[in-house]
Amino acid sequence: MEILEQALKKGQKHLSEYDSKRLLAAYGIPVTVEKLAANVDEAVKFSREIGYPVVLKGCSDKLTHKTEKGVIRVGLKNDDEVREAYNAIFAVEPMDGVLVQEMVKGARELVVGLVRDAQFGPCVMFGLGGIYTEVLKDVTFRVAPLEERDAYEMMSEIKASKLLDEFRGMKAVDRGVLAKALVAMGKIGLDNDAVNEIDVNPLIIRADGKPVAVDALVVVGGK
Amino acid sequence: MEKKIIEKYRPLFYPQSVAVVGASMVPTKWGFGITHNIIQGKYPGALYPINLRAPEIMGRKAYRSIIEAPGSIDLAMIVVPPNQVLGAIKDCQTKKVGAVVIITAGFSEVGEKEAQLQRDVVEQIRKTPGMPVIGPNCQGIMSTESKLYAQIIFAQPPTGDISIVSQSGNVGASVINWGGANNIGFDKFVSSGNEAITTTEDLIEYYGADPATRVILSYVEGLKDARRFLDVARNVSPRKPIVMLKGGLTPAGAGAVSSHTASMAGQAKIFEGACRQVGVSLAYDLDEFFSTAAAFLGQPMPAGNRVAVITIGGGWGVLAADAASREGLEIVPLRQKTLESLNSFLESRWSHNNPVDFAASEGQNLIGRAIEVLCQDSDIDGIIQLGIGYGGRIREMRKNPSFLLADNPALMDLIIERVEKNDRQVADSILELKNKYSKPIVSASDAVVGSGVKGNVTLEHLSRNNHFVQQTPFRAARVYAHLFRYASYLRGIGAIPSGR
Repeated sequence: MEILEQALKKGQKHLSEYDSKRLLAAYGIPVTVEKLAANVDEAVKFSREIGYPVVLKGCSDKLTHKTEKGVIRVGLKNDDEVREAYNAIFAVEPMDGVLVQEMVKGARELVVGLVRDAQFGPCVMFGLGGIYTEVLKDVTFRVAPLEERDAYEMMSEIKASKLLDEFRGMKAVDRGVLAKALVAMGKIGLDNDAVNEIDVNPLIIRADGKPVAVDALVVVGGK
Repeated sequence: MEKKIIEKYRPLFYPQSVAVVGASMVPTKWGFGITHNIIQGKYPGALYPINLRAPEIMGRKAYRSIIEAPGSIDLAMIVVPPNQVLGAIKDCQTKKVGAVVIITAGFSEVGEKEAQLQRDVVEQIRKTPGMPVIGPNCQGIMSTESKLYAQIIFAQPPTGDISIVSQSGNVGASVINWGGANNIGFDKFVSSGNEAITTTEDLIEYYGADPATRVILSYVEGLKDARRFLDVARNVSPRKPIVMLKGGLTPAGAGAVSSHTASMAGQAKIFEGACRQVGVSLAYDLDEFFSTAAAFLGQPMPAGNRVAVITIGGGWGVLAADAASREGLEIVPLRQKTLESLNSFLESRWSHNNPVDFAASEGQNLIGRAIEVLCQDSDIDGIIQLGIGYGGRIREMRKNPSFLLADNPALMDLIIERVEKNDRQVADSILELKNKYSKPIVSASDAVVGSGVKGNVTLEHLSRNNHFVQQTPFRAARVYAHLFRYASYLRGIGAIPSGR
């Protein structure tokens, strides 16, 4: 995959959020509508195209801990807010550009990931996401390649499985789409030795039941 | 493909001739124990002790090297010190031995220098690929059909349909002891040691093809080739249940593992997910390990998780209901028709509910009749039956000379006869109904607690018919959950039809 080849050539340890999502999208995993703006005018142009409100995020393969560094601004409603946010973000540290992203509404956050187990090889992880991920560790695994049957079982296995049903007035998640995403995650690991790990957190379930990857981090490098 | 595997392992499990390389008359040496145990087990084939000095060992003519032994040798047990193993292997290869078991310890499980020794041995063995080699650092093997009990610690459990591969000698011994105490038999046993050549995956593949094996038990600490294990399990589990126990699932356990069999532990959640993926039933303690395998021997696959509990004693019924709920089973309310049917022959003080609590009702095989009514209820997928085998307890109590009726043996005999007859009726009903309705009936009884099945006529009868009575209501619920998960897996992959 070209995204990976370029990253390896440059000696990168991660893909940027933008590149990570392009990799996921290439495998059919639903990601946020987003564009990478190189300057403030592009940021405004893309915001209008995507439709307000938008989210702006600093973007670079070296830029991790985005929240702590203050390079994320959400709920931007108009051109002026976007301009102001862009300039503030871009001033923090060197970056490829600023990601202009649709703002996804959804209280239900899941985590989907890929790890390379020393014994079993690429394994897909699924579970409860958001800030509680590391604390509750409500996750389950399957070894790639996954069948859709495996993905459906993972959905029933997590303690928070009720979130996937109709929940507090929100529609049930589209399990078919979610299953295909989990299978695809495994395929990425099997197809690309250069991918060491993938962390998609959060994968948000919208009120209409559609799952979408809102943030993603791909760790690269191979053995 | 299957024929090839069967033929490959034939010299290991069905040897016509066995040589013990390093046989000894010195009781403290392993060469003594192995030879002694093979003889004690009444192995009917040719047995050749191999010893540099002794002309005979335990009444058998000894030879200075395996090459000098007459005829062909199917199986060689190697018990010489580590620095002599390489030479022994070469001799076995010259002799064209069919299979080898290396009991000797002191290889990769000790350290790097010793690991090199193991690598040298492996390199030599690879010159005759296709020869099964068990170990090194193992306790031996058992093949009950061949009357081969070639282990360091003598054990002769009943024969049966469960085959075992264990990476630990003492876990393997635990399983065998338990089998003996509970009249549940085994077919083959391998203590696989360091798995330098033949691995757990290889043996599971063999047991999968072996017509004499119906259930497979595997204790692992680390898998040599985890992906191959998955492929093998995926192939075997639709045909035969595999019950696994993994040592080293926690960081503390994993620390203990790496000094034992020199292979990696792996992360717990990934291992659990992988087992579910290929239909392997994962147990979390020794008790569950045995009990689940025994249950798979004799229980029909449940169509669902809706369970009725039937109990003589109230307390066990309550505990069973709790345990069942925790295991994800549903304690369903009884239909009107079922209630009416039970009302017609149970005493009025019964619980009128699920759990069906007899409140100590008496009568001619009430339990059997009640179980049949529950089996006929299409809302009920399976039964947890509590309380059986009391005749055996009375027989035990009677052995005490200060027992009240000790001076009236005739009356005692009469009482015991009556209780055991009723016991037996209930037992036979359970066996019959399981098959008639194809629904699992998992039994547990306080009569088994603390004493096992041995000496209890009714319970031994049940064990012989592959109906193992569990020791606690928790165990019964846990085992039912395993049956249900396995059945769900089979339905999920289309190995058995969905729905009824």
